[in-house]
Amino acid sequence: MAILGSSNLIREELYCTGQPGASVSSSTSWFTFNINGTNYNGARATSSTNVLQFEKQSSNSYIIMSASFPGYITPGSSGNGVRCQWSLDNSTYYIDALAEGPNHRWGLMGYGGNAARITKLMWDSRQFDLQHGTNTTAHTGNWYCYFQRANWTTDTTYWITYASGHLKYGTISIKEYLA
Amino acid sequence: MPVIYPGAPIGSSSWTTGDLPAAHVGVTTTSFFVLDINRDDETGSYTAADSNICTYTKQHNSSHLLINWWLPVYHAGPGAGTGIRLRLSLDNSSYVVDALDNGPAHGWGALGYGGNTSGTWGFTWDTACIDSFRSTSLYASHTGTVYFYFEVKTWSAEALYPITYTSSYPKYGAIELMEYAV
Repeated sequence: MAILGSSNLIREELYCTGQPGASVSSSTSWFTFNINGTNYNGARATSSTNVLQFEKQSSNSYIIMSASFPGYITPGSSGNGVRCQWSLDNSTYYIDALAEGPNHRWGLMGYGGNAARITKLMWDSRQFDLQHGTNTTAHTGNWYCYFQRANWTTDTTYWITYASGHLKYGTISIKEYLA
Repeated sequence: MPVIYPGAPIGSSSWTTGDLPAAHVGVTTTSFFVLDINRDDETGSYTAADSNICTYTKQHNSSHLLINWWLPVYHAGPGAGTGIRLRLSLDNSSYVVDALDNGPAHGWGALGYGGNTSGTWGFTWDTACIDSFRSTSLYASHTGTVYFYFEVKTWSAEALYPITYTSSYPKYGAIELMEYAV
Protein backbone atom coordinates (compact mmCIF):
# COMPACT_ATOMS: atom_id res chain seq x y z
CA MET A 1 0.00 0.00 0.00
CA ALA A 2 1.36 3.42 -0.91
CA ILE A 3 1.71 5.77 2.06
CA LEU A 4 1.18 9.47 1.63
CA GLY A 5 3.48 11.81 3.51
CA SER A 6 3.50 15.48 4.30
CA SER A 7 2.93 17.70 1.25
CA ASN A 8 1.72 14.87 -0.96
CA LEU A 9 -1.01 15.88 -3.34
CA ILE A 10 -4.18 14.01 -2.44
CA ARG A 11 -6.41 15.01 -5.29
CA GLU A 12 -7.21 17.74 -7.75
CA GLU A 13 -10.49 18.49 -9.42
CA LEU A 14 -10.93 20.72 -12.43
CA TYR A 15 -14.02 22.72 -13.23
CA CYS A 16 -14.98 24.44 -16.44
CA THR A 17 -17.42 27.33 -16.57
CA GLY A 18 -18.86 26.21 -19.87
CA GLN A 19 -19.91 29.00 -22.21
CA PRO A 20 -22.07 31.24 -20.06
CA GLY A 21 -24.11 34.07 -21.46
CA ALA A 22 -22.53 37.49 -21.20
CA SER A 23 -22.23 38.67 -17.59
CA VAL A 24 -22.25 42.40 -18.15
CA SER A 25 -21.83 44.36 -14.96
CA SER A 26 -21.64 48.05 -14.22
CA SER A 27 -22.39 47.52 -10.57
CA THR A 28 -20.10 48.32 -7.70
CA SER A 29 -21.77 45.62 -5.61
CA TRP A 30 -20.64 42.02 -5.50
CA PHE A 31 -22.53 39.65 -7.80
CA THR A 32 -22.12 35.92 -8.27
CA PHE A 33 -20.28 34.65 -11.31
CA ASN A 34 -22.21 32.52 -13.75
CA ILE A 35 -20.01 29.47 -14.07
CA ASN A 36 -22.71 27.09 -15.22
CA GLY A 37 -22.82 27.84 -18.92
CA THR A 38 -23.41 25.40 -21.74
CA ASN A 39 -21.14 22.37 -21.39
CA TYR A 40 -19.90 23.27 -17.90
CA ASN A 41 -18.31 20.44 -15.97
CA GLY A 42 -17.08 19.56 -12.49
CA ALA A 43 -19.14 18.69 -9.41
CA ARG A 44 -21.69 21.28 -8.25
CA ALA A 45 -23.81 21.72 -5.17
CA THR A 46 -27.39 20.57 -5.38
CA SER A 47 -28.48 24.04 -4.32
CA SER A 48 -26.92 25.82 -7.29
CA THR A 49 -24.78 24.89 -10.26
CA ASN A 50 -22.84 28.11 -9.68
CA VAL A 51 -21.49 26.58 -6.46
CA LEU A 52 -18.54 24.21 -6.82
CA GLN A 53 -18.38 21.12 -4.66
CA PHE A 54 -15.15 19.34 -3.74
CA GLU A 55 -14.89 16.31 -1.48
CA LYS A 56 -12.03 16.86 0.94
CA GLN A 57 -10.56 13.51 1.88
CA SER A 58 -8.12 14.12 4.70
CA SER A 59 -8.50 15.56 8.19
CA ASN A 60 -5.04 17.09 7.93
CA SER A 61 -4.82 18.82 4.57
CA TYR A 62 -4.88 22.19 2.88
CA ILE A 63 -6.90 23.43 -0.07
CA ILE A 64 -5.60 25.53 -2.95
CA MET A 65 -8.09 27.03 -5.38
CA SER A 66 -7.05 28.79 -8.55
CA ALA A 67 -9.21 30.39 -11.20
CA SER A 68 -8.75 31.82 -14.68
CA PHE A 69 -11.58 34.07 -15.85
CA PRO A 70 -11.54 36.11 -19.07
CA GLY A 71 -12.62 39.71 -18.62
CA TYR A 72 -13.05 42.86 -20.66
CA ILE A 73 -13.32 46.25 -18.92
CA THR A 74 -14.44 49.47 -20.53
CA PRO A 75 -13.65 52.36 -20.41
CA GLY A 76 -11.21 51.25 -17.73
CA SER A 77 -11.00 54.53 -15.89
CA SER A 78 -10.92 52.54 -12.67
CA GLY A 79 -10.77 48.84 -11.87
CA ASN A 80 -12.59 45.70 -10.81
CA GLY A 81 -12.16 42.75 -8.50
CA VAL A 82 -13.08 39.14 -7.83
CA ARG A 83 -13.50 37.35 -4.54
CA CYS A 84 -14.67 33.91 -3.45
CA GLN A 85 -17.12 32.73 -0.85
CA TRP A 86 -16.49 29.35 0.70
CA SER A 87 -18.30 27.02 3.05
CA LEU A 88 -17.93 23.67 4.75
CA ASP A 89 -21.67 22.95 4.85
CA ASN A 90 -23.20 24.98 2.01
CA SER A 91 -25.00 27.05 4.63
CA THR A 92 -22.53 29.21 6.53
CA TYR A 93 -20.42 31.03 3.98
CA TYR A 94 -17.21 32.94 4.64
CA ILE A 95 -16.04 35.77 2.41
CA ASP A 96 -12.60 35.00 0.98
CA ALA A 97 -9.74 35.85 3.38
CA LEU A 98 -10.14 39.60 2.97
CA ALA A 99 -13.56 41.19 2.51
CA GLU A 100 -12.67 42.66 -0.89
CA GLY A 101 -10.82 39.63 -2.21
CA PRO A 102 -7.14 39.10 -3.06
CA ASN A 103 -6.79 42.11 -5.36
CA HIS A 104 -9.30 44.36 -3.62
CA ARG A 105 -12.36 45.52 -5.55
CA TRP A 106 -10.32 47.73 -7.85
CA GLY A 107 -7.10 45.83 -8.36
CA LEU A 108 -7.67 42.97 -10.77
CA MET A 109 -8.05 44.88 -14.05
CA GLY A 110 -8.27 48.49 -15.07
CA TYR A 111 -6.91 52.04 -14.90
CA GLY A 112 -5.37 51.92 -18.35
CA GLY A 113 -8.36 52.31 -20.64
CA ASN A 114 -10.17 49.45 -22.33
CA ALA A 115 -8.52 46.17 -21.45
CA ALA A 116 -9.01 42.50 -22.23
CA ARG A 117 -7.28 39.90 -20.13
CA ILE A 118 -7.48 36.44 -18.64
CA THR A 119 -7.52 37.26 -14.95
CA LYS A 120 -5.87 34.78 -12.62
CA LEU A 121 -6.47 34.31 -8.93
CA MET A 122 -5.39 31.86 -6.27
CA TRP A 123 -6.67 31.13 -2.77
CA ASP A 124 -5.15 29.13 0.07
CA SER A 125 -7.22 27.63 2.89
CA ARG A 126 -4.50 28.48 5.39
CA GLN A 127 -5.08 32.18 4.78
CA PHE A 128 -8.83 31.57 5.21
CA ASP A 129 -8.21 29.94 8.57
CA LEU A 130 -5.87 32.69 9.65
CA GLN A 131 -8.34 35.46 8.87
CA HIS A 132 -11.56 33.76 10.01
CA GLY A 133 -10.35 31.63 12.90
CA THR A 134 -11.69 28.50 11.23
CA ASN A 135 -10.08 25.08 11.03
CA THR A 136 -10.58 23.90 7.48
CA THR A 137 -7.46 21.77 7.77
CA ALA A 138 -9.31 19.24 9.93
CA HIS A 139 -12.48 19.24 7.85
CA THR A 140 -13.42 16.19 5.85
CA GLY A 141 -16.30 16.01 3.45
CA ASN A 142 -17.60 18.56 1.04
CA TRP A 143 -16.07 21.94 0.46
CA TYR A 144 -18.19 24.53 -1.35
CA CYS A 145 -17.26 27.75 -3.06
CA TYR A 146 -18.50 30.28 -5.55
CA PHE A 147 -17.11 33.48 -6.98
CA GLN A 148 -18.23 37.09 -7.09
CA ARG A 149 -17.19 40.11 -9.16
CA ALA A 150 -17.61 43.87 -8.76
CA ASN A 151 -16.50 47.15 -10.26
CA TRP A 152 -14.87 49.90 -8.29
CA THR A 153 -16.74 52.84 -9.85
CA THR A 154 -18.49 53.36 -13.16
CA ASP A 155 -16.79 50.95 -15.53
CA THR A 156 -18.49 48.09 -17.28
CA THR A 157 -16.93 44.65 -17.15
CA TYR A 158 -17.86 41.76 -19.40
CA TRP A 159 -16.96 38.69 -17.39
CA ILE A 160 -16.12 35.50 -19.24
CA THR A 161 -18.27 35.83 -22.38
CA TYR A 162 -18.50 39.22 -24.07
CA ALA A 163 -21.37 38.34 -26.37
CA SER A 164 -22.82 35.24 -27.93
CA GLY A 165 -20.77 35.91 -31.03
CA HIS A 166 -17.55 35.88 -29.00
CA LEU A 167 -17.81 32.89 -26.71
CA LYS A 168 -15.25 32.44 -23.96
CA TYR A 169 -14.83 30.18 -20.96
CA GLY A 170 -12.97 29.98 -17.68
CA THR A 171 -11.51 27.22 -15.54
CA ILE A 172 -11.08 26.56 -11.82
CA SER A 173 -8.81 24.07 -10.10
CA ILE A 174 -9.20 22.82 -6.53
CA LYS A 175 -6.33 20.86 -5.04
CA GLU A 176 -6.00 19.14 -1.68
CA TYR A 177 -2.59 18.33 -0.26
CA LEU A 178 -1.44 16.88 3.03
CA ALA A 179 -0.37 19.31 5.72
CA MET B 1 5.90 -1.31 -4.79
CA PRO B 2 4.14 1.70 -6.29
CA VAL B 3 5.64 3.06 -9.49
CA ILE B 4 6.05 6.80 -9.92
CA TYR B 5 5.66 7.78 -13.53
CA PRO B 6 7.35 10.85 -15.05
CA GLY B 7 5.18 13.86 -14.44
CA ALA B 8 3.49 12.39 -11.38
CA PRO B 9 3.01 14.84 -8.51
CA ILE B 10 5.17 14.05 -5.51
CA GLY B 11 4.76 17.01 -3.19
CA SER B 12 2.94 20.30 -2.88
CA SER B 13 3.18 23.39 -0.77
CA SER B 14 1.79 26.91 -0.66
CA TRP B 15 2.38 30.33 0.78
CA THR B 16 0.27 33.46 1.14
CA THR B 17 1.65 36.92 1.69
CA GLY B 18 -0.88 38.36 4.05
CA ASP B 19 -2.02 41.90 3.38
CA LEU B 20 1.33 43.60 3.92
CA PRO B 21 0.39 47.16 4.89
CA ALA B 22 2.80 49.73 3.57
CA ALA B 23 5.22 47.33 1.93
CA HIS B 24 6.95 48.91 -1.06
CA VAL B 25 4.28 51.57 -1.56
CA GLY B 26 5.00 53.55 -4.71
CA VAL B 27 8.54 52.22 -5.06
CA THR B 28 10.40 53.55 -8.11
CA THR B 29 13.48 51.33 -7.93
CA THR B 30 14.78 50.35 -11.36
CA SER B 31 17.06 47.61 -10.03
CA PHE B 32 15.65 44.27 -8.95
CA PHE B 33 14.92 44.27 -5.23
CA VAL B 34 13.65 41.57 -2.87
CA LEU B 35 9.88 41.54 -2.64
CA ASP B 36 8.57 41.66 0.91
CA ILE B 37 6.11 38.76 1.19
CA ASN B 38 6.35 38.00 4.89
CA ARG B 39 5.30 40.95 6.95
CA ASP B 40 1.73 40.49 8.16
CA ASP B 41 -0.54 37.45 8.32
CA GLU B 42 1.61 35.39 6.00
CA THR B 43 1.27 31.60 5.81
CA GLY B 44 3.72 28.95 4.68
CA SER B 45 7.27 27.91 5.50
CA TYR B 46 10.03 30.52 5.57
CA THR B 47 13.62 30.47 6.75
CA ALA B 48 12.77 32.74 9.70
CA ALA B 49 9.93 34.82 11.02
CA ASP B 50 10.95 37.97 9.19
CA SER B 51 12.49 36.33 6.16
CA ASN B 52 11.16 36.55 2.63
CA ILE B 53 12.81 33.27 1.72
CA CYS B 54 10.37 30.41 1.14
CA THR B 55 11.48 26.88 1.96
CA TYR B 56 10.36 23.51 0.67
CA THR B 57 11.69 20.03 1.47
CA LYS B 58 12.27 18.28 -1.85
CA GLN B 59 11.53 14.61 -1.38
CA HIS B 60 12.71 12.79 -4.46
CA ASN B 61 16.09 12.53 -6.17
CA SER B 62 14.58 12.51 -9.62
CA SER B 63 12.14 15.39 -9.67
CA HIS B 64 11.70 19.04 -10.56
CA LEU B 65 9.73 21.91 -9.07
CA LEU B 66 6.96 24.05 -10.52
CA ILE B 67 6.50 27.35 -8.69
CA ASN B 68 3.36 29.36 -9.44
CA TRP B 69 2.82 32.82 -8.09
CA TRP B 70 -0.20 35.09 -8.31
CA LEU B 71 0.42 38.52 -6.81
CA PRO B 72 -1.70 41.66 -7.08
CA VAL B 73 0.11 44.71 -8.43
CA TYR B 74 -0.71 48.28 -9.41
CA HIS B 75 1.62 50.11 -11.76
CA ALA B 76 1.17 53.87 -12.02
CA GLY B 77 2.47 54.19 -15.57
CA PRO B 78 2.16 55.82 -17.89
CA GLY B 79 5.01 54.82 -20.08
CA ALA B 80 6.78 51.60 -19.26
CA GLY B 81 6.52 48.27 -17.45
CA THR B 82 7.63 46.05 -14.61
CA GLY B 83 9.77 42.94 -14.18
CA ILE B 84 9.82 39.88 -11.96
CA ARG B 85 12.35 37.13 -11.35
CA LEU B 86 13.00 34.15 -9.08
CA ARG B 87 16.10 33.49 -6.96
CA LEU B 88 16.63 29.85 -6.09
CA SER B 89 19.13 28.02 -3.88
CA LEU B 90 19.86 24.56 -2.53
CA ASP B 91 21.88 25.78 0.46
CA ASN B 92 20.55 29.27 1.26
CA SER B 93 23.95 30.62 0.30
CA SER B 94 24.50 30.34 -3.44
CA TYR B 95 21.48 31.62 -5.34
CA VAL B 96 20.73 31.13 -9.02
CA VAL B 97 19.08 34.05 -10.81
CA ASP B 98 16.06 32.63 -12.61
CA ALA B 99 16.55 31.01 -16.04
CA LEU B 100 17.31 34.41 -17.58
CA ASP B 101 19.13 37.18 -15.74
CA ASN B 102 16.20 39.57 -16.06
CA GLY B 103 13.51 37.02 -15.37
CA PRO B 104 10.95 35.49 -17.68
CA ALA B 105 9.63 38.77 -19.10
CA HIS B 106 12.77 40.89 -18.84
CA GLY B 107 12.78 43.89 -16.54
CA TRP B 108 9.90 45.59 -18.34
CA GLY B 109 7.53 42.94 -19.68
CA ALA B 110 5.65 41.42 -16.76
CA LEU B 111 2.98 44.14 -16.62
CA GLY B 112 2.65 47.65 -18.04
CA TYR B 113 2.71 49.81 -21.17
CA GLY B 114 -1.02 50.50 -21.11
CA GLY B 115 -0.97 53.55 -18.88
CA ASN B 116 -1.88 53.00 -15.27
CA THR B 117 -2.56 49.31 -14.75
CA SER B 118 -4.00 47.17 -11.99
CA GLY B 119 -3.53 43.46 -12.39
CA THR B 120 -1.86 40.29 -11.23
CA TRP B 121 1.69 39.17 -11.77
CA GLY B 122 1.37 35.52 -12.68
CA PHE B 123 4.03 33.09 -13.80
CA THR B 124 5.03 29.43 -13.51
CA TRP B 125 8.70 28.69 -12.95
CA ASP B 126 10.08 25.24 -13.69
CA THR B 127 13.46 24.18 -12.34
CA ALA B 128 13.87 21.98 -15.43
CA CYS B 129 13.75 25.17 -17.49
CA ILE B 130 16.33 26.84 -15.25
CA ASP B 131 18.66 23.85 -15.60
CA SER B 132 18.15 23.84 -19.34
CA PHE B 133 18.81 27.55 -19.82
CA ARG B 134 21.75 27.55 -17.42
CA SER B 135 23.22 24.26 -18.70
CA THR B 136 23.26 22.98 -15.13
CA SER B 137 21.87 19.88 -13.47
CA LEU B 138 21.32 21.33 -10.04
CA TYR B 139 17.81 20.40 -9.11
CA ALA B 140 16.62 16.99 -10.25
CA SER B 141 18.85 14.92 -7.98
CA HIS B 142 18.71 17.21 -4.96
CA THR B 143 16.80 16.11 -1.88
CA GLY B 144 16.26 18.27 1.17
CA THR B 145 15.52 21.93 1.57
CA VAL B 146 15.13 24.26 -1.40
CA TYR B 147 15.13 28.02 -0.80
CA PHE B 148 13.61 30.68 -3.04
CA TYR B 149 12.49 34.27 -3.05
CA PHE B 150 11.27 36.82 -5.56
CA GLU B 151 12.59 40.09 -6.92
CA VAL B 152 10.74 42.81 -8.81
CA LYS B 153 11.54 46.14 -10.41
CA THR B 154 10.05 48.99 -12.36
CA TRP B 155 11.64 49.74 -15.72
CA SER B 156 11.54 53.54 -15.82
CA ALA B 157 11.19 54.73 -12.25
CA GLU B 158 7.40 54.76 -12.44
CA ALA B 159 5.62 54.10 -9.18
CA LEU B 160 5.02 50.43 -8.43
CA TYR B 161 2.71 49.04 -5.74
CA PRO B 162 3.34 45.30 -5.35
CA ILE B 163 0.58 43.47 -3.47
CA THR B 164 -1.05 46.06 -1.19
CA TYR B 165 -1.52 49.62 -2.41
CA THR B 166 -2.16 51.16 0.99
CA SER B 167 -3.48 49.86 4.27
CA SER B 168 -6.92 51.18 3.26
CA TYR B 169 -7.01 48.72 0.36
CA PRO B 170 -5.50 45.49 1.67
CA LYS B 171 -4.62 42.78 -0.84
CA TYR B 172 -2.75 39.51 -0.66
CA GLY B 173 -0.91 37.17 -2.95
CA ALA B 174 -0.40 33.43 -3.13
CA ILE B 175 2.37 31.09 -4.20
CA GLU B 176 2.04 27.42 -5.02
CA LEU B 177 4.71 24.76 -5.49
CA MET B 178 4.48 21.30 -6.98
CA GLU B 179 7.28 18.72 -7.03
CA TYR B 180 6.89 16.34 -9.97
CA ALA B 181 8.77 13.22 -10.96
CA VAL B 182 11.07 13.13 -13.99
